[in-house]
Amino acid sequence: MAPRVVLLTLLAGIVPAAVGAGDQGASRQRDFGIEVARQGLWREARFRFERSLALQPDNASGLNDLAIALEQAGEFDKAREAYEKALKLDPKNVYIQQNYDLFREADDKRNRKARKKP
Amino acid sequence: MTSETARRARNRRLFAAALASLAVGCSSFVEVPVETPLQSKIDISSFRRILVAGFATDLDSSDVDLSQETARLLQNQLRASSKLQVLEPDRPPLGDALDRAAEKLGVPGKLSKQEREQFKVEADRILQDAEFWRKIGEEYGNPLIVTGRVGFDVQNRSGFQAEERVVRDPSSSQPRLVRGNRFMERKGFSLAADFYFVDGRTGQTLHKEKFTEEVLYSEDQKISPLSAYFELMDRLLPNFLGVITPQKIRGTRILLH
Repeated sequence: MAPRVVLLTLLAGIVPAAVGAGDQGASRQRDFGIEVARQGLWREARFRFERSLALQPDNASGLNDLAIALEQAGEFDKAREAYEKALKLDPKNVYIQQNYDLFREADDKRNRKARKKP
Repeated sequence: MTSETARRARNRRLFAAALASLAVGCSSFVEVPVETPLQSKIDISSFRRILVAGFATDLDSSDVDLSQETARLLQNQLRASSKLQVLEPDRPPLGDALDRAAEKLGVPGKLSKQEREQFKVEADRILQDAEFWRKIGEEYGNPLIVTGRVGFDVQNRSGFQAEERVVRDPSSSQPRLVRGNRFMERKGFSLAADFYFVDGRTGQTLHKEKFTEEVLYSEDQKISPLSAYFELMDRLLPNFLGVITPQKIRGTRILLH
């Protein structure tokens, strides 16, 4: 088995998978997602954020984190949806609002660069 | 970095992440750098080659050979950042057509203002001549063609500039802000590039975009026009490359625990 696969299996066993469903499990999934995101491992981070939201679908922080992972992956429509849902759940959260503003700014730039086909 | 080294580095990062995750809970938010993809303005997937065909410039004498310098710089950049094969003609094909147009008007270097204007009109006509570009495309194996018009200007930008200084008031010894104007001798360089991206198979312009940049130097900086030109091109290049190659928007976001 490739070392990377072994590591991921170990990590999955050590950290979140052992934790049961519920708020604590969701939080641990998200925390682990944040740690791997800090290492630049965005695919793994996205997976963790999605698992976190499966346990706690209406968590604004979780939706915010997933939105960032989706943005990083270039899935902008889904990212917008997640940001907007997060803001609906927690409209006074300045961090989510800031992320959303930066996302929209980048999105405007992208939209100005409308793709042309020859 | 080899794939083996990259895999090891990745594994080390995973271990670090695993250890860090055991000590989670110290902070409620984390700022992370993100890079979001930005698609190119035109889809160049159907091209295998790219030809920098030269640039129209004004006939006024200039310290910089704009067409040649711009073509050479763009070829180098395209070689480094594009997957397309960069064609290198002995002489940019637009140059020949422009020389013929200038000769028809009179002796190059001795043209009147009106003749220079006529030359500009003729150059613009060639730039938009689909049949001309289709023939060039046929000759060079149907590449994506980059051409256009480039202008470079040097202006005296000396004048009074608003200035703020903090001085200590002699009576109270308190610092205070003093506003005033100071005459500054400055030189301005401006670059205007109107790039055309032409489909060598049809001669049609796929995309056209104008970029302008300006830089000011104080007289004592003794900057040569060529140095200023390269500085301005350096600023302009990411936008030029963004037309044909995907770029990334870099920023930061806040992850919440």
